[in-house]
Amino acid sequence: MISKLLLLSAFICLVGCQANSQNQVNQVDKGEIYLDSISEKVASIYSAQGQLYADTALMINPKSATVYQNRAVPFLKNGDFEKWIFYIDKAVALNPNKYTDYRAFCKAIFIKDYEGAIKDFDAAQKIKGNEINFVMDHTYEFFKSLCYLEMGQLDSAKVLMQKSVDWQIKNKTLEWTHYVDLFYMGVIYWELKDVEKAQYYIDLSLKKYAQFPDANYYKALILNQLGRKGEAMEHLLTIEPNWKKGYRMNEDNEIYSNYPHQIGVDEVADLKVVLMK
Amino acid sequence: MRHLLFLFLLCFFFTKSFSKDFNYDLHATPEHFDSVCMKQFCDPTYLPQYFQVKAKNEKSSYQILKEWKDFYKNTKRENLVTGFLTIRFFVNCKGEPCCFRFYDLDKNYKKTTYPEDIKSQLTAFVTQLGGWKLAKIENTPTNYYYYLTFKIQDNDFKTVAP
Repeated sequence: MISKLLLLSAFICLVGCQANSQNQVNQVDKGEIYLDSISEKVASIYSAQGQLYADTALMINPKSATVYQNRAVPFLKNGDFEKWIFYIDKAVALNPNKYTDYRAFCKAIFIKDYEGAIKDFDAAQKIKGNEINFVMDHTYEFFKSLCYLEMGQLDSAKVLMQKSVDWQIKNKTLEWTHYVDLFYMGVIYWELKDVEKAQYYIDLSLKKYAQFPDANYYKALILNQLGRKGEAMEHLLTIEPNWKKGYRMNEDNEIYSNYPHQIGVDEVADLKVVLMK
Repeated sequence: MRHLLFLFLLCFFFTKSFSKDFNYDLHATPEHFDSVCMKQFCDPTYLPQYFQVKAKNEKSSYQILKEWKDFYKNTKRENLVTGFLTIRFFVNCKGEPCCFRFYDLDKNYKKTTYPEDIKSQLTAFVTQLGGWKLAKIENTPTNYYYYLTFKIQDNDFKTVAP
């Protein structure tokens, strides 16, 4: 233990002295040096050792938003949100431009604090000021739409998701547009009981990702609604084999947390019973 | 050399003092273990998080919330409950949850205290919930950590994470 601490101290001292001597590396950059040099290669951030390294880096540079964010991550993922907010709030305070939208994303997907997430996304929008901003591979509108969907405010959800989809089609192409955005557009229309539009968007999503289990579930719901039980069952029966093959929503954080309207084994079993009647 | 010595001492100081408030140990301390639970453990020396062994519960968040609402017997309360209630536990190598503890937070993520009857019902609920995966590391069964966080608004359970 002592030798490890000594080595760590020596390393950080070396990094710090080097940065000082060059007089070119600012305080935030030292945080990046810590991440690149220590956390990723020497110790997992989930380990006690990794957290000790982070704390040591914070002693060297208590103004590193990057290290505070890194320090917060394990607590987000193990459900200790009191400690998570302690660290992530510090990261946001030090670098609101970089971390306000990230905190919003975490509240939306990990904690399901939808009101808190919308508040943070609005604040981030004011900071960034662009027409469209992205965080974690999606637009702010995408995540805000999910929040409103889960809060039952479907009209707001529709407007925001439509804006996200339209922007991608206009500025990129329909082919480029994210299949998860298209999927949720379909889900929102399903919830609005607009079966025709729901089918249109679910089909677009499935065209890009045919094995997508959640989209196949909604396709089965739609076909059942249209009285096409046989076809509905065909889609439903693809889900469990595809799960076993590892097909998922393919969102990076789905391994940690369920996404809004994401299905589980019970939804599939219940619909199977309905279709067999 | 002075820098080195200074940092070395600070490391020790920080390890001792800071850990009191925010301990580094993501794993449970001994008081979170109980003898019944321990007997079910395959190997208590290593306890991964559920996502490290790809063991997210098979039920959707909606299904868990629905089953909880069916299970929960609400009582009239003078003070409305609003915030986040987390139940954290282990799933042992037989797929049984055990060793429960709670994090009670208000809507601003500050510590608060929720009524004991909610917690005891939640413990009973998780025990019978099902959907827990049997996790393995290199073909060896393992226990793992899990949590469920309920968002409560005016005594109404709104969402469950993860």
